[in-house]
Amino acid sequence: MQTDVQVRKARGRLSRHVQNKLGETLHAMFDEIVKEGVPDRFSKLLEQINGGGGLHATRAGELDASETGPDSLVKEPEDKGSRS
Amino acid sequence: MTLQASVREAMLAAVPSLRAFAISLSGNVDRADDLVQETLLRAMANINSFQPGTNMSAWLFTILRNLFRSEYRKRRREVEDVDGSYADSLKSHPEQHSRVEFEEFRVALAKLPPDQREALLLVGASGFSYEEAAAICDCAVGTIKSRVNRARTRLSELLSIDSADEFGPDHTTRAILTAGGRG
Repeated sequence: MQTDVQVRKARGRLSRHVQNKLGETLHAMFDEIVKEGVPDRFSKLLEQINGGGGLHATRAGELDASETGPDSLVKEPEDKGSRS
Repeated sequence: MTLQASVREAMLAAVPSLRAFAISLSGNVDRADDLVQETLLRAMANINSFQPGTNMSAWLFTILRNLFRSEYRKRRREVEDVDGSYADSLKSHPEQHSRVEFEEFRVALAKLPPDQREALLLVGASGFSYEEAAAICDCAVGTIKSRVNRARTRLSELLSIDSADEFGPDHTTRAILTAGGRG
């Protein structure tokens, strides 16, 4: 009489049953951690950086400035050379 | 504002599974949380290289996986902590699975070579396709498939899972788990 295990070993593959069992335990273990959600440490980290006064405040200022088009302010003298 | 709200939300949403991946990969909660923190910092510093509309979770997993790999190479000679720091730190555990069972599983997982462990965790627990896992690990899809197969085979040997009743919940709780599980 051949059991699942013998079949599996003969082919070098795991039976569906063994695969399911491993998968279930893996998922259960994983889900247990996932259920802990986002620790304060990480939500605070993202909040801090999001809040203007964060790590990239300087860079944000530069980006804002470029978006509002500083060129017109800085390079006004160019008007002299304008061909309009 | 330096980080778009949608980007920030996507990062936050990815943290729980990113953390589960890091803990399962490293076997140590403190190390894992440091890895997650470093991953988030790097992600934010390089947010310009993230393409909106693509999978934020896969991007973060890739960063974390690479960080873990480079750290692993440095620490290779150190003895891995597989004696309970993980289990002790868990706030709760489902009644369907005993702590002993998880602990056995985790110890077995820690015995796998890292490439097999990460492949199994990405495909078997994190919900990535073989193709996504291959992209994260920067290898061929066939390589991921064979790593996952070898990981499963090795785990089943380490845990001696041969019959229906030796390991894991009985049929009733298994049905509950399946009904309530992911996927």
